[in-house]
Amino acid sequence: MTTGDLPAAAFASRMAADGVTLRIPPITVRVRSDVRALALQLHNVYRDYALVADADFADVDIRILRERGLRRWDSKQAHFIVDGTTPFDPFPIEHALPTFEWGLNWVFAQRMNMWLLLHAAAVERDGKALLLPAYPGGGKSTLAASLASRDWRLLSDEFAVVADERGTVLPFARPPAIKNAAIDVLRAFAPEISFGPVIPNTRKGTIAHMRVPRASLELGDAGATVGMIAFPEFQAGATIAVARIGEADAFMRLAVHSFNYDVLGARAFHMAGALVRSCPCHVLRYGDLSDAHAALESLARTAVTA
Amino acid sequence: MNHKSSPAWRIAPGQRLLFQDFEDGVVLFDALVGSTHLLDASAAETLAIIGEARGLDASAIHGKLLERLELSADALPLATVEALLQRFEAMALISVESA
Amino acid sequence: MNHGNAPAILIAAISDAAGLRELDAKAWEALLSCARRNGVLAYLASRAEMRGVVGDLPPFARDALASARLSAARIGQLALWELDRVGRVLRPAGVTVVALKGVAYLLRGLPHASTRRMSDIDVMVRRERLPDAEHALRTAGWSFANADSYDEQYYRRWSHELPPLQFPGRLLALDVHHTICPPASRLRPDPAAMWARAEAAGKEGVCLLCPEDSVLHAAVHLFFDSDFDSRFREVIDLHELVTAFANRDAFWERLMDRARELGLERPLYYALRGLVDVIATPVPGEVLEATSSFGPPPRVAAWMRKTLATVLAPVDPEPWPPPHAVKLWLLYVRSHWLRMPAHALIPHLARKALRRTTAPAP
Repeated sequence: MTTGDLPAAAFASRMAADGVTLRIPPITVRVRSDVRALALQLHNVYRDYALVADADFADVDIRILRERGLRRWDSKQAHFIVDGTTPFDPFPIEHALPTFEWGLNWVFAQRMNMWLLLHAAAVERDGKALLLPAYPGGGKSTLAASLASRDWRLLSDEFAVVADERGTVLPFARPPAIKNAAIDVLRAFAPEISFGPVIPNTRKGTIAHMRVPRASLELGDAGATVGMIAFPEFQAGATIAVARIGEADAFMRLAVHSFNYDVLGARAFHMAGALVRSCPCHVLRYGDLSDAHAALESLARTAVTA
Repeated sequence: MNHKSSPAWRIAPGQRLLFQDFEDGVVLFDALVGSTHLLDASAAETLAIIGEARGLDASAIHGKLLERLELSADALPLATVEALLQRFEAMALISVESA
Repeated sequence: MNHGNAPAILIAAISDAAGLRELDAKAWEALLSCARRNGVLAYLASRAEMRGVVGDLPPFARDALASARLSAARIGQLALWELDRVGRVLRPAGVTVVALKGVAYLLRGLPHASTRRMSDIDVMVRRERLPDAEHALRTAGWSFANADSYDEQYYRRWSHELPPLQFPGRLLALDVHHTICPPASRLRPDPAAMWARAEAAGKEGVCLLCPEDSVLHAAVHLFFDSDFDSRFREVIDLHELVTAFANRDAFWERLMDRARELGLERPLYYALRGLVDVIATPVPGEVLEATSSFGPPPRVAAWMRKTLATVLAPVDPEPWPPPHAVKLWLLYVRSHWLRMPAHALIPHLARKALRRTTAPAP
């Protein structure tokens, strides 16, 4: 059963009571919230995700609850709670959805040291994964979302989950958070994309979450093997430029673009080495999504014949 | 022993250095501190020399380096190697051999 | 979501990790959450490792334990690196340090040392060397984190340490102390006495408190440091210290003598009872007897013992928000009483309370 199979009202009541448990491969997440608007938004953007009934164990349990108590005049604020703590300040309830998404990223990045987590988007086609490591604000979410609207499966817009020294990449597909001008760019590029609400005035500007295409979720937990690594650099108005980089250069970039390289130590050292040896690595500078797609297609063709 | 002017070098106690050689550089992981460094050929070779033979001073290391990399002293002056050794010492990769 | 008593499951699992084999998925989730809340998940993992039960546990549990273990080990590595960098700067300045708490446990090779979450390292220097130490560290690149001038005044006048120092780009902050108790508090252990018994740490320019002083320092820190979120984790520290030293010849007698010598009988009294009440540390009966005179008058003793057992027990992440605010506040006040004379305490607390409601969210 998926989220969409449950009527929105029932979904919201469950979320306000014992919570709703979603399967977001590779983990199970329980969410509880008394913010009805958030429940309805989650019902929308997580429409095609599997609901877990009678879940005994959730890898992550998140609560988003309205502020209560003496400060009633402040009850337009909510808290993000995990393990009985509030790691973030209270936030306006209108920002509940982006806060949930950022918070889940934050928790995931801390708990999953059985995998090397790269700060990268990842997409897959024909069993091969394309990794797009980049700094925050570098455009990787938008690029990943645009690729997912074509014939690529979205593995993740934020985490490349490298599971082993053979370059197995696991999915962690969540609704990409598209920001500011990129929202209109993406709408123009792929008009069929569904978005959650457009939320202004967040700490990252205006945000809208893209609903992950059903096709990206059909393979569930199945991973892929790394086939391409491209470091995207978005620059408005830039002409497309693709350059191959050396393995040592790519290695150091991967180490920088990772959440837990330092924690994994020698294991990460070996995994990163295997990654840069497994396929040619490139830097991709672009100002236009279509250009980027064309360049990636060209690289993909070369990779197949290599 | 002329300790101050020409110290003898060793890989730092408790240190474990892992190398990966690529065409465009050598990547080093130092397991003691948990840091990763990008080295050029002369830096990597310097550490390899120290790892193989404890107790060499800068001059001896320099000599072996020139031999292995097939360079002249003009291309790689002793002063460069001395500076490199100081940097490695500051990063806790190597230390002075105690008397 | 009612999953039984998570703190009790946690304590049972720490005491005998073999019990982990019996847990169902619901109990596991409660346990992991409680362990995280109390900062002891990596410690629990090490207990499971030592008992040899990890292979028998379900994959999700193994993964959670292993992940926490790795994160904590990395922090331990960073702590030793921070100390290494400090030593590099203070040695040429002729300033010797005593390593304290987490970084000291690492240097001692205590089994739980690399399972601790830390946000800073603590060292002690002689009071007269404090200006030189501060100068050397700031010249080398450490700077004070953005405290306003009131905080800085507070630190320098009432506290036993410099404001926290931070080296840019590194994770852990540096706390430089000159004694183990705030100078203004009613507990005034003589730092010179602690220096006199300090031991070598295997690193030039660094030493360690002797075992008895390590235990007493942990006891003082547990009760009289005003951070309330890591109580149970600090109980574990005390437990591990006592366990490590208990088999040494005449350790208990020396501990009690030292408590008298340094005027730290009260913290030791509370520490031993806390250990017994919360995690059943095997403190010999005769030691409890012999230290009963270290305690407060009977009426206060009974109340404090009950309150402390509640406060030192692992915090249950359920329900949220947590109760016990009143008791914690009482203890907060008491701990501040020990930091400052009463005439300074009231205005300080009032100002802190005001800042809490008006300061912008960090």
